[in-house]
Parts: sequence; C-alpha cells; structure tokens
Amino acid sequence: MEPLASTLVQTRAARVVPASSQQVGLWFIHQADPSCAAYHLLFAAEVVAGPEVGDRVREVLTDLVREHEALRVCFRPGQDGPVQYVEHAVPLDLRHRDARHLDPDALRRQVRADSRAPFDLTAAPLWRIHLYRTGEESWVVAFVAHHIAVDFWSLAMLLAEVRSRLNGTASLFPLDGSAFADHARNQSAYLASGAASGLLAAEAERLAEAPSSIDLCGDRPRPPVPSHEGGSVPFTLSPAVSDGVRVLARETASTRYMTLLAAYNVMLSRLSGQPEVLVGTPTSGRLQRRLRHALGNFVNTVVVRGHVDEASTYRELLAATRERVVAAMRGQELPFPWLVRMLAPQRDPSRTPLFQAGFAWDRLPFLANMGQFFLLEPDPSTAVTVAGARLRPYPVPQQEGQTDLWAEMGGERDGGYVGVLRYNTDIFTEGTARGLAATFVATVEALVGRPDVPMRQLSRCDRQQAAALDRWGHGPVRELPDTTLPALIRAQAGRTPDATALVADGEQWSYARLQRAVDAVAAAVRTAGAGPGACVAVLAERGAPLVAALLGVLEAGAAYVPLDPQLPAARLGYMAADSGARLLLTQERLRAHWPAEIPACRLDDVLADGAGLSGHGTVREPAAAGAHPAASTDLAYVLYTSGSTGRPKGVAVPHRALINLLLSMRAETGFSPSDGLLAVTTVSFDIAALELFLPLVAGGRVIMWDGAAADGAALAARIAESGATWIQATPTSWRMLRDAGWDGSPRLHVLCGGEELPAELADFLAPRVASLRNVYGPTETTVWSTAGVVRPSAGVDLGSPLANTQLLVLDGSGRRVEPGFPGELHIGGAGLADGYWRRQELTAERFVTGLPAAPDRRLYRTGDRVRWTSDGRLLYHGRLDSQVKLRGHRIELGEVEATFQAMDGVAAAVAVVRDDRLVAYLVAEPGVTLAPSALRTSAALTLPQYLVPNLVIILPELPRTANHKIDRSRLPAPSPETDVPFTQPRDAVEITLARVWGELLGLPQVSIHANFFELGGHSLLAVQLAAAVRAEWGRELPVSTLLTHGTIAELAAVIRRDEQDTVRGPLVTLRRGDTARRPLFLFHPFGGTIFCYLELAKHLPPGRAIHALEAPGLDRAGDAEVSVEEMATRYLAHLREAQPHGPYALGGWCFGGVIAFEAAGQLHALGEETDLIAAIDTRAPVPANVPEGADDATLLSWFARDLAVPFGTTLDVPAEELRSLGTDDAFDQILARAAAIGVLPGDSDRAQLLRYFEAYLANGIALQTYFPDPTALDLLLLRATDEPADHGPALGWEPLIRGSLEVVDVPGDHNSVMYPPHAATVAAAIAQWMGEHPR
Amino acid sequence: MTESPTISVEDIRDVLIRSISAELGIPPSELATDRPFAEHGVDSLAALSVAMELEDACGLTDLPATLLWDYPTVDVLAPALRHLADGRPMPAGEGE
Repeated sequence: MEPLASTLVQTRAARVVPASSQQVGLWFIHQADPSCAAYHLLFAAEVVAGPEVGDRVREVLTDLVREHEALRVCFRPGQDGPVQYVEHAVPLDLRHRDARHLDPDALRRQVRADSRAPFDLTAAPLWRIHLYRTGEESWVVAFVAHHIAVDFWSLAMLLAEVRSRLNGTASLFPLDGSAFADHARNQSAYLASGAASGLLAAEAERLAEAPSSIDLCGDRPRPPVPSHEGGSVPFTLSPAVSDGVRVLARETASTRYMTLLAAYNVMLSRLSGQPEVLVGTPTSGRLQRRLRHALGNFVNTVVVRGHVDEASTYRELLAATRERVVAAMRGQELPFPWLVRMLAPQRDPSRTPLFQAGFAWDRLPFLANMGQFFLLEPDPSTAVTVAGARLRPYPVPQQEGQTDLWAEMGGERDGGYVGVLRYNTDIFTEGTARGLAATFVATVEALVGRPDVPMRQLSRCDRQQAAALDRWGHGPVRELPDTTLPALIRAQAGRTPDATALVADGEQWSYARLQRAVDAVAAAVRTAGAGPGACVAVLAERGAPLVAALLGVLEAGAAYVPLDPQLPAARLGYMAADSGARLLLTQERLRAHWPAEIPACRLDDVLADGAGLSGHGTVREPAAAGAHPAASTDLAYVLYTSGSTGRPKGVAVPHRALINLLLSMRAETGFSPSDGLLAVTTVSFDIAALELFLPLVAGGRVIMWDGAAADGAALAARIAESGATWIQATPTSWRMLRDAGWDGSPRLHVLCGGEELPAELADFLAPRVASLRNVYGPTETTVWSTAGVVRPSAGVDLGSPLANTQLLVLDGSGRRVEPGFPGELHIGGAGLADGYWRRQELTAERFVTGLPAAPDRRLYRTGDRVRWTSDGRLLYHGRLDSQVKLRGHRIELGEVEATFQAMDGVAAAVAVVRDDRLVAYLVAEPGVTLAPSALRTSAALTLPQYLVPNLVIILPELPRTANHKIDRSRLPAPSPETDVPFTQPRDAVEITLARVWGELLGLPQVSIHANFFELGGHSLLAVQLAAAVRAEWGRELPVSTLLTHGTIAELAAVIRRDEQDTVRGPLVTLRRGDTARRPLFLFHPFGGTIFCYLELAKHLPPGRAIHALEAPGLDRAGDAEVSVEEMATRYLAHLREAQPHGPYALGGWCFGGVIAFEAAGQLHALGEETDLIAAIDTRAPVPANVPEGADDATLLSWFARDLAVPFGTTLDVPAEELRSLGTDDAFDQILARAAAIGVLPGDSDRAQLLRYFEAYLANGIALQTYFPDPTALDLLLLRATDEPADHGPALGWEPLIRGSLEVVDVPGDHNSVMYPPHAATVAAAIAQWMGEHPR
Repeated sequence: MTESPTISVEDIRDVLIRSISAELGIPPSELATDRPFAEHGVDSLAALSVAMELEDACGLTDLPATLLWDYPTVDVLAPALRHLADGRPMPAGEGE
C-alpha cells in the first residue's frame, strides 16, 4: 500500500449509504457462514504478455477505482442490518504468486482455493485480483468479487471498459459508478408504494399453496443448516438439439430460456415426484434507464412456479411455461429477500426459502467475442488479443452451493448450447450430479424431438443409462431344478441321515428323525384327505414338531397356512376360513386357540404314533402308495399379511419361488453343513421360511429359539450358548439386543431385513459380527429379492438382486427412470408369488404385465420408492402408499382404520405412525363418548398386537385440506389421552418409576394408575424400562411382567415385594439433568418422605438434576436415625457418591432445611464449599422453637395429618379417638383410612406404617435435641407468609447465621408452600440462586 | 410524458422496428409486425433494451418489465404506447 493512500483512508471519513434488500440478504448469509464462498464472482484467464501490460492494467484499475465509488464499498453493521460504506481511497488488492513450479492441476487447485478465500465484508475493496506467474511472460489472472458489491453484469462491463482503455478505443458505454448509492433508498421508497403492494398481492396469490419445498432426492441426509459447499458439472446440447430448441422457441413465441426451463421443470418434477416445482431465476434488476450501465449489485431473483403434467405435450407445456415465466417477471421489482419476509412461507432452516433449484440464462451481448471465457468447458481454440496481450479462457468453477441445484445456460459452443449444473455437496455426490446433467441433456433431446406426443409416452434414459440399469437390476440367471422343498430335504436326509437337522426343546433331531416325522405328518394329512391343491392350517408352538408339520404338509402335496398362536382368535379364525383350509394341524395345549369348524389333527398324536421316531435309522423312499408329490408350480404356502381394506390378505407362494429363494440365498451366504442358524421369527412372518428351511437345504442345522420375542437379554444369552453361526432378524430385534447389552458375536453372520436398516444400527452391527447383510423383499416376491453385504462406510443400500430376479425402477407411466431418479420398485422373476389367495382383483392390481418398460414380463409393484445411485447401488426412499413398517411389522394403516370405523360410536378413524408409535385418531358419533382404553381393548380382539394402536386419541373433528381430504400433517401431536385421572406416586419406588416412564414416553407427568401401553409404550420401550429397573434396583424384570403389571402402582408392588432384601440408598432422583451441571439435593422433611418435592421439581429450571434424600428407616425397621448430625453424615455419604466435590447446592422444606444446614456445616469442616442452602419455611433449631411435649396419641394424630398433606387431601384422626384405641388398633385405624384415600399404597401393611411412624418419631427426637453453634454459612430462607404461627421475621435463624441471611417471602402457609399454586413461586425464588454452575 | 407529446403511432412503430432489428441484428424489413417478438428471437434482455429505447423516444418512464410479452407484436404494442403517451391507461394486453 502506498503511504499517501493510507493517509487518505485515515483522514477522510467514508460516505454511508443504505444497503438494498438483496445486499442485506447476502450480508446475513455471510454472518451465518463467514467462510461461505458461494457468492464469489469470478473471471479468470491465461495471459501471455510483457510486463508493460501488467503495469498498464494496474494504472487502468487504479483509475477505475478512483473514478467509481461502486468499487470502493464495504459493509458494516448498522442500527438494523448492514450499512454500505463508500471509502474515499481504496488500494488495489493484488495478490501475486509464483506458480512456475506448479503443475497445471496443482495450479488449478490453487486458483480455486484462492478464489474461495472468504472476504471480510467490512473492509473495502470487496474484490481482488490473483496473479499467478506461470512463465517468463505468461500468467494466470483471476478477478474475484463478492456478489454483495457487484453483479455479473457489472463484472462484464468492467471487463469491457478495461479492454477499451487498454486498446485505447472508445468506451462501449458510459460506466456509472455512483448510481448504486441511491438504489437502496429508491427501492425502499418503491416498496412503500401502492404499486409494490399491488405486486405483492399478486405474488401472494401466484405463490399461494405452493409446495413448501421440493425434495430432490439426494444421496446424503440433508444437514440441519446448508453448508454452501458445492460442485459443478458441465453439459452440452448437440447442435441438432440446440437447433430444435431454437425452432420450438420461435414456433411457440417463447424464448430459448423458457424452452429449456420447461425441460428443466420436467426433470425436477420427475426427480421430486411432484408436479409442481418452484424454480428461482435471476433477473438483471436493471429495469430503470439509470441503472443500465451502473456498477453494483442489482440482480434480483424471481420464482417461477412450474407445473408439469406429463399427459400433455411438450408444446403445450411450453405455452404454459411462457405464461408462468411472464407472470413471475411481473413481480421482478420486488426484491427476493423482501418477498420472502412478506410472504413468510413455512421455513425450514435446512433449505433455501421458496425454491431449492435455480435456472439462469446469462447472455453478455457486449462481450460477444469473450463468451467462451465464461464457460466451464470453453472452446480450446479460443484466444483474444487485448493491447498486445493474448488471453485464453481459464475456467474455474464458481458460485457453487447457493442452492440444491442450479443450472446455468446461455452460452454456446460450436452451435450447441452449453451449460453448467451446480449442485450442493451436502446432498449430492458428483456421480449423481453428472447423472442429472446427462439426464437433463437426454430429457431435452427427447422432448424437443417429439414435442407433440404426450410426454408420458416418451421414453426416459439414454442408451448408456439403460445398459447400466440392465446390468444392475438383473440377478444372475441360474437354472432352477424342477423340484420341491421336501424333495430337497429328503435328498439331504438320504446323504446325512445322522447329522443334526434341528435343535429344539433341549433336543437334537437328526435329518433321519426329521424325515420320519415329516413322513408321518404327510401320511396323516393324506389320510385326512388334504392332498395336492388343499390348504392345511398349521397352529403349533415353536419347536421341532412345527418344522415337521410344515414340511409334512408340503410332502403331502398340500400348501400350509401358518398360524401364530399369539394372534387373536378372531384373526386366526378369519385366516383359516379365508384360506379354505381343510385341516388344522395343531397341538392339544393350544386347544383354546383352535379355529372352530375345521377338523383338527393333533401333532402330538401323529408324532407319537410314528414308529421309530427317535434313534437312528434310514430314510425311507418317499410317498406311500397313492401319494401325489407336489410339482414345482404347486402352491407351497399361503401367508397372510395386513390388508389395506381392513382384512388380511393371503399371499400364495409356489414351490418354485421358495426353491429359488433358498438356493439363491444358499449361494449368497455360502451356508455349509457346519453352520447353524438361530431361528427367531414367528411363522406368521414369511421370512421364517428362510430360517427354518435354508439350513436344511444346506445340510446345516436349525436352532429353534422359543423364548419371548421381546426378551433381548435371554436372546443374547442364547446366541452365545447355542453356537449359532447365522441369525436373521429385523432391525427392531437388533436394536432390542443392543439395548439389552448384547455387544456382538465375532462368529455370527447376520441377515438383517424386514424394514429399513438405519445407518447408525449398521454402524453398530457391522464391526461386531462376522458379516452383516441387508436383505430386502416383500412377501409377494417370496421372503427376499435382494441381498448385499453392508459396508457402513459406504452407507446402507438394498444390495443386489437374487438369482433369476429382475428389479425395475419405474415411474407412474411404467417407464424406467434414470439412475439417480426415484421410482417405484417393480420386481419380476422366479420369486414372484402366484398372487393373492382368492383375490383376483387385488392380484391384477399389484401383479402387472404389459408395462412399457417390460411389456412381456409379470412384475410385482412393491409400493416402495427406491433409487439407483450413479454407481449402481439401490437405495430405499420410503413408501408410496400408506403401508408402513413399524418395528419390523408390515402395517396397512387402512386395516387399522377400518377396524375402528366398524366399531359402534366411531364416526371417523385415521391411523398414523408418529415417533415410532402407531396412533389412531377417532371422531365420535354425535352424542357418543368414546373411551380410548375400551376401544383399544376391542381392537385387540381382532388385530395382532402390533396393529393395535399405542395411542388412541379422540378428536372433535379431523383436520381437512381445502378440498376436504383428511390432512394427516395437521393431526395434533400425540399426547396420551387416558380415561384414568392423575394420581401421583406414593413412595420412592413409584417416584422413580414415574420419572423413568416420563423419560421413556416423553411425558411431563404420569399417573400411577395409567397403563404403560396405553400411554404409547411399546415392546422396545418396555425393554428399556426393564433396563432402567435393573439399573435402579438391580432386579431382572422379565418384559412379560410389564405386560401383566402395566401400571406404575402394579409394577411398584412387584418391585417392592422383594425390595426389603436389597439395600437401597436413600437418594431418589426426582429429575435427571445435564451431566455437566451440578445437581440440587433436597433433604426430607419431618416424617422422612420426599413427596413434598415432586411439585417443586417440576417448576425448577431444567438442566440441573434434582435428587431427594429420604429417611432410610422408611424401608427398614430399626434403621431410623435419632440425631440430626448422624443423619447428615449418613446422607452425605450417598450425596457425595452422586457429586464427589463441591460446591454443593442443598435445600429442604421444614425439617429438611435443618438437615441441609447441618450437612453444609459438615461439608465445610471437610473443606468443601456449599454455595446454596435453601431452607423452605424451616424454623431455626433453637430452644425457643421446640414445641410443647406431646403424648403418643397426639404425635400419631399429627403423623396421620402430615401423611395426607402431600396428596392434597386431609386425614384428620383426632388424638382422643386414637387414645381410646390402644397402639395396635390405632395403627390399623390410620392404615385403613390412609389406604382408603390413596395416601398409602394398597399393599401397605402395618409394619410399613410402623416404620413411617418410627421415622416420624425419630425425626422429632432428633430435632428436639439439635442445638447447633452459630456458623459462617449463608442461608436462603423462604418464609411462608400465610403461616398463622409467628416465629419471627427470620424464623429464629438470626443468631445461627454469621454469613448472609437472605429471607424471601413466599405466599402460602407452612404446608401449602410446597403444593400448587405456591410451589411454582418457591421454585422461581430458588431459581434466582441456582444460576449456571458448571460441575 | 412531456418530451414528445405529439409522437405518432407511426413514430413509435419506427422506434420499435429499429431497436428490435438492431438488438437482434436483422434487417428491419425482415421484422413481421404482426408476429410475436419472441418469434423473432427477442428474449428478456433484448426486451429490456427495446423498452428503454421506447422510454427515451416516447418520454415515458417505468414501463412494465413484461411490456413486450403483454403486447407481443409491433402492431399491438405501438397503439397501446400511444394511449399511454396521451396519459390514458393502456388497453388490456394479450398477456393479461
């Protein structure tokens, strides 16, 4: 910097001018992300020139800076928002770098990095020049400017002006470097005008009810706040296609911009799956004459609202697009940031407002011969000469990451349009962006080539894309043996009769034994007349007989219908009847579950009768005389799944499909005879077929799990001791195992499927097992259709198609979609089911032939939205319909809704899944009052447990959209609605349970009589609850206990029953807090209980944990302390486990304040600090405060009175009455009356009441004998002002406190200060003294 | 609207034809006055330049940005501007 210039900067004040709305917008983006380089404008060139040219350029630039204020601006914060400063003198910001040692790639990286170095917006100039010396007379020069100060038009005008001055020719136009200064003022005047409000109203109408965002289906989860990081991909339209664009534009009186925007909209509509797309498009903002040649930033973005209906032709779309663009242009004088503020659209901080994709058409007519300099892939022969210097383009990507996607066009090369597609790397990979660019080119080509054919008839995908889709979507072709499952197993049994086939019920079944059992079952089935073509229902407990039964049915040539005894009887009955099963294979002990009206055949008898079922032996030849073995096309099973109309539907699967699955998975897994698979899935879920049969077709063994499905700890133990090498389970089961403390099994191979595998779970599983495969497939294509080993670092995908399986991703018109584009997964091949059992219409709807993408192939429409990535990985993007997966179960919400709708008194029902819970919203018929718990109970009569809503919520009416459809997005957040009135916990066990429930269920308070499952609890939360019980009481609580003891009161009784044996500390956590912050400890009052703090804890500011200390004597007889000093010492031992060192925060109500005072004194003696002692209406321990002596009956009467206080009720048992009863009867009297009003748990006994009373008496003795010395401590005393007894202004504390004694008056009397409404005031008063205290 | 109160429809047509053909680089004779501007290749940038020429010639300011879309041919636009120069409201255009 030259000394003169710097003097000028210091002595002359800058001129201050306001900033325009657009500049304010960019300022705030910069404030939020000061490293953001997305708004850097760039011009770069390779230059061959002598040093004299450089000197000349420097002179020209210096002149320009002096002449034009616009080149001397910066921005600083003002009153509200930034203000623009025009400095009087600004030095050139020239940055030299010797790049002669850099190779071309390194130089390019360097230029890119330098161009992205952030600007300090508060310091002028907001532009700079990087000079790289690449040879004796060769340079690379890059001009970088921040968009807040200049726009691209300004940059181009500057370039033209510099060129004219260097050439010594006349300027192309009179450059205006000062008009910008009035722009913001003119803009605000305009925005206050009637013209602007008219435009705003029009814009509001035009953009009304537009989609709040378009989901462009990215590769990566969108970060909560965009990073403004991006990439660029160039693309080129061929000269022929470009000519087509020109011709079409002319024919339709559109511009080329409109023509290409229409094609871009088609692409965005396909990418987002929605017809409406909002696209941002920049306009010059130079509508006024005075701005024509002004330097500055005037660009404004308008939003074009596109609508794509592929039933129309491209020509029709163009006509509509033309009108929509013109409509958008009408509003171009309204600055975009202002418009956003005025329209206040629904905001999502992870997305740019109103639009997420942009399209720009840039044309610089006055720089025509330098057009190539602005392309990412310029014509390599381009060169211009300016004043003896030779310039060649040096393309560097710029302005990346402003939005999700941004297409920039307007340039041409060799007669073809070229452009650049910018993408945000938060969500897109480079491969996907390249694919999108290729798709855009192919889309333009297809549309322009046939503009008069309905767009949905045009094919998608170019040849290269189609070839890739074929490669990725076709599984290996393998010849399928013409056989059946029982034949394969018989062959195996013939080869290895003595090998173990099944491990179940503590027994091992050899292949020979299994085969004999299968034969016995088959014979029984045939005898019952259920041969080929018939259905046989199988209802059996998990065990070897179940496997024998399923295979026996198949051996007999019939198809099995698996029935899970856990399902409600009504549902089992429906399945048996709908399938037309002619026989029920079952067990005597399940008699209660037998569907009526089907002849039952007891497996117990069949298998007991079978000769020589145990021991070794040979395998007989199949099929007794007269038997007809099944053919591969015969039905193997009919499996029922949730049906959207309210009735389950049966999926009919032939042998061929089952064989294809088993042989394909055998190849995929390499399952060997030494492998064992732990089978955990219920037979009513089709994936059980893999678990029960894959090991048998591979000569391995099936290890049957027969424990409770939700018992993670037991399953984890079984995995370890069973020696299983394979297991298949749903992500829900894996989460359950993880929650139960399972930490992996290095020898275990894992198949995970049935619902989406979350990345975090894959991250957990993959390193803890021998291998992890994600498997995917609907029941209708037989268990699984894809499988793939998961490598968490690469993300989770669905894997590759199984053998003889084809995957097609199609759009709504049945066309294959391009890689990167979402579509509905269609599956074809050998795994296809025959269809839905006796549901022809439904079968025709889901199993389709004749789609354009594969006219001759039968395909199953999965309803799953998926996408191929550019590198051929198949990703899952949710459902297209209302089918949902919840904890591994396939749920048709329609079935849940239909069930409720059929109930008396229900006018309307909607089911949704929220936060992993199934919630039903119901509207009652007029005059009817619905009881949620009763409705749930009746739903459970017909629906399986997983289809019974976790919550039932009654609404006066359902929210509806403008066109009267139910608006699911506006259903209120599920808050538990129960017909149980609130009852608060009554002892430490219940307090702790209530806290845990509140945390798990996300509720502020839980009544001790409300049912866990009615409050939205589900099996996974139950597992977590069991873990919490283990942590708290060291007790293993089977999850089944929660099912039978569903309320806090019931569960507390179970825990209390043997808690006497366990020693539990007196510390009860009322509320958990931030572990980085210190807790507050509250000591029990007179009587030893701590209920009095429940209300207070609710109102204390969140963040710090709150622990209460109750008297140990409450739990164990003879444990009551009779001195305050002893009590404090004992409590401190526990307290210091929770917080080893001070400073401590202590408090207590009534007598609790005295204990806190003593505890603080003891801590002080130990060298620990206490920064808060909050005594709530605590009378000082001084002789004057000791009450008159009282007899036992009086004390007992007081005790009864105090017992009831925490429950907001009264228990008035006069002393005289008690005195006449004698001690034992007096106790019984109090016990009965306390239990009757809910003050004591119903299971309380005299011993417990006695302990309560002992603690009460002990406290009394302790208080009467505690007269401490004065201390230097500080005390915060909260005094109940409505207490009638007068104990002085500081309740007698003055002589004891040598530190500061702060007295705060709170409303209420001695008791009521701890209860509503006064407890909130007390909490607020304490909160003042509980500021931020890091641990 | 003070500078050229007497500008005729013909004058306006001449300004239009001259500026559009200059903007597009075509001879004025090739401009069909009954065909939409866009058909000749006018885009929003060209439209902006033409509008500014018109402002200068007719003594008007703040012409709407979508002028050439709302009045898409020379034959339609020239008389509409004549109305405007007289201080009368413009007739409804085709794009409205």
